[in-house]
Amino acid sequence: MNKIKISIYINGKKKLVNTDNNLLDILEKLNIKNNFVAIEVNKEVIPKSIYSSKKILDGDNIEILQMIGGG
Amino acid sequence: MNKDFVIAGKTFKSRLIIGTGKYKNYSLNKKALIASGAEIITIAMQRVNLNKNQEEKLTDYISPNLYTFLPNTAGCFNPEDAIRTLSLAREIGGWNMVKLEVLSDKKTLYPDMLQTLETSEKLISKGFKVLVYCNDDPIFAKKLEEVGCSAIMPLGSPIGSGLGIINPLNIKIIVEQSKVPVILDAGIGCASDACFAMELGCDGVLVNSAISQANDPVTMALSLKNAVISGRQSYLAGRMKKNFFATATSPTKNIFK
Repeated sequence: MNKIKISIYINGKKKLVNTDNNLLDILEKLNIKNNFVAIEVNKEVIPKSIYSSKKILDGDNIEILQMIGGG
Repeated sequence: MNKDFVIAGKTFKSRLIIGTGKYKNYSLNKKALIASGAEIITIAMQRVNLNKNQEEKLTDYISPNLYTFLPNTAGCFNPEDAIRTLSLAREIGGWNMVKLEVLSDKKTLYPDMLQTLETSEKLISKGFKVLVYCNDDPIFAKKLEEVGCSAIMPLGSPIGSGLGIINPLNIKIIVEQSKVPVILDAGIGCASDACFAMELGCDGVLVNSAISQANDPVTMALSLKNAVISGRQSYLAGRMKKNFFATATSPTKNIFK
């Protein structure tokens, strides 16, 4: 049986994901290692310690940021 | 007195801070960093590119375990974006010591000083140690110190311009009035600019483009390391008094007539 999909935005791009996904699932799906990234959901910074329990809801706006060179 | 270089309670040996922007690649960045002897590097935050998330990363070359990472707010034009950026950076590495810049104008990249002051206060109330990029304006520099900034970082000239120190008098006034470290930020173009900043009494210098845009960034990094040490020693030694007219350095008496 197909799982129900919800639409979310990751770094401004629309994505369809399973309704029971948490933030860690999303990172794994995107093949992003979580040690040097930070994540906001709807402009709220999410502590790394709760990625696996943070449920994603329809319409959520997720920003995933990393460090780059800068002056 | 050669006091230690202490920022926000942490002591550093090197008074040179280097940026990590605009290098050809991170490998060159790392070589320049090693040559510079710097212990602090600035970093920026950016969205992960979802299509290229396997590309090389800064941390593949430079470890936050070996260097102090100083997250900045490059590209932020309002307090909300700046606080958001630094809150995200803190979540990555637990970094409380940050470089704040709240810009006002895309052409000059001059800071918006009213918003810089407001943002500094907000960040400090959230537990951040703020090293603040600011104009070479002694009045605002004092206000930033009074609200609790950990270091004052006046520009020498516009970011990335390489024009050196346009207003040495103001830098000198800021140095003399400040009880927190003064780190010259922005405008350094070559070693003599950094040396001059240190001779003015700055506690440190932050350099990015002068190194990354040099023909030979690694040699320029070494040159800046030496310039900062030399400028500091010159400042501590105390320069001679300037005179309008010549003062003979050889004997003027008992010479044949």
